[in-house]
Amino acid sequence: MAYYAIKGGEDAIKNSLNFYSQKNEAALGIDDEQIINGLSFSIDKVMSEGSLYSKKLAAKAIKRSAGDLLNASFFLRAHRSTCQRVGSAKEINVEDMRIERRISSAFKDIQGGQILGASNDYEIKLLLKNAQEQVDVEEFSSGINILKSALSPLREDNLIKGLEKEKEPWDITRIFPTAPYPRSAILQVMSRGESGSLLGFAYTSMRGYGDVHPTIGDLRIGEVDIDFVHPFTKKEVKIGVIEVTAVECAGTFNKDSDGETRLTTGFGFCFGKNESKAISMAIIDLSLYNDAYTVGADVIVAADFEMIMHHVDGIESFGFANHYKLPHYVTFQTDYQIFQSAKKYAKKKEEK
Amino acid sequence: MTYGFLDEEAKKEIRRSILKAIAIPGYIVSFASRELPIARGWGTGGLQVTLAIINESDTLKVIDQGCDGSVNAVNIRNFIKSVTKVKTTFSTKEASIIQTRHRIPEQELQEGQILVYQVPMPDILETVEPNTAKQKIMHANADYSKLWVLLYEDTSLFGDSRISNRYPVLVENRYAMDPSPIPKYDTLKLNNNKALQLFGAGREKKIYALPPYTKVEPLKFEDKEFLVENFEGKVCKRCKSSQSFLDELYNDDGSTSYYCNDTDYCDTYKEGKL
Repeated sequence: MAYYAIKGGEDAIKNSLNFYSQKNEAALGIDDEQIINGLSFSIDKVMSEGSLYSKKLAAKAIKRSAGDLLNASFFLRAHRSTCQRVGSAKEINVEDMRIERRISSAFKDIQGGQILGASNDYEIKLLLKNAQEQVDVEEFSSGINILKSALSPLREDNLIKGLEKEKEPWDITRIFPTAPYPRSAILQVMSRGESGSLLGFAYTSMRGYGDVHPTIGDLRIGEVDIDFVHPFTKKEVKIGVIEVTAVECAGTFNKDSDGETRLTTGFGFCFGKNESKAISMAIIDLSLYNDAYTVGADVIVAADFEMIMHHVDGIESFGFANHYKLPHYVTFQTDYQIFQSAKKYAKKKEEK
Repeated sequence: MTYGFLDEEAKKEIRRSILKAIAIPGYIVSFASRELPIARGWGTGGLQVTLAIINESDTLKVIDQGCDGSVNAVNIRNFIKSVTKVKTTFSTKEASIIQTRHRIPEQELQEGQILVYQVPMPDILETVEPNTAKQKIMHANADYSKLWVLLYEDTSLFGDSRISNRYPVLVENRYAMDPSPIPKYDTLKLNNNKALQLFGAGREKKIYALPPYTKVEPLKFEDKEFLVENFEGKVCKRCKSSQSFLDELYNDDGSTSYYCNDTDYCDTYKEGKL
């Protein structure tokens, strides 16, 4: 009997998948627009980790995975693989962003002002609905805000440490680099990394494993244009608008390449509204490229290129963690045999 | 969708990496590694290798833990079939491409056959040095002292290496290589194999290869015997063979029975065709 039991994989999969579809059928009945408008943070997380900017596909992926967001990101990544690459868009400058929200904790007041925008930062987390004072939003400016980073004045005064700019950015989806890793590749890995993993690594550096005490120099959310050089007309055309989060954080000071002491900064950037992720990314970028003073470098996980480069991608880590569910009876049998012979060896040694 | 799921650009890149890997047996080649609709860690490396080399004239066999009917084998075989329309088989002999996880078939492979391994951790040095940058330098210098020290420590404490599967091998006296988590029982089959052996690690984005008739030896001390799994005279309950790697199965009454792990071998032996 047993022999046939392990050969029944084909039917087992079919039945299991049918059962799964039945159980999660209700999710498919939800309207895409409802998810896009109602669960916008889920959409943004999935687009960011799935490395594909499409709210429509993200909504479909969330439905297909019945709200398991990492699984939804995986759907997007898999779809991304089937898309033919046309070319690279023009560089985005986040200072050209049409700002919806921009804050800086480094300065009391900044050029353009603190723009809280739509934020839940000061929400009291009570599940019971509390009375909220209604304000008339019409009183607020609806003009387009395009503002320089709050750290730009310091940069213009040459007070911020610069990092060497790469001639061409690396593309990790075409060639995954080996060490030493170009900064563009690390930023790409982080930008599509799993929010929780980035947060975890960044958090280690905040509480002793590193001495970064970051200050949010500039956190912004808004829309940026995607420009592309048309392959036939060779003219620059706007092909779309995406919503992004960008963070510039400031650390302590380090010696720059010219010997001058300057302020250090880190940069975080990702699709959609993902503040925790962008902040975490900026902090990790800061710890990777700047020396710490107070602790030995060997214990700073967030400053370890190998650690970050290979351990923040959610699609990879969750896939591998889940692969342990696959049959491993051959490897377990080998483990068991080695264990048995080691036991025999130990016993023999004792008898001697 | 293009033939073999991957776009032509991706397939070309994978083929180039495979060619480089074949040219330097045992050397680890990086490749881009596309995301597939199957999860990372579930065979995406082997799958990309197979999808890049397969064509209409191929006959495909997929095994997981030696079994064609295992859930993951079924899933991968169905996926490849759906994007390539190739003929599939359970027979080791009839297959032109065999994709495997954790086993080398019991029946000797032939010239012209290709064995594609699904690899979780492509670099054997990972057991002694997790930093990939340092691993690369160690390979460049053929510096495998840490592996030898591990082997020495294990031998002095436990009488033998504690590594039970994915046992380190040395390729043509040059590169230390991870043979994927095959049992030690299969390690010796790597050597001088008539088939082309390709190894794909999707999550780690690496490919390496053993061309036919490559010298592959397990890392061992001269005065120590290389011990493999031993089933102490047990025979397969179904086909009665005593010459194969066995699975230990627990029956409902608590007793144990032994069956061939390689299901095609078991079928073939039972039919008396071996």
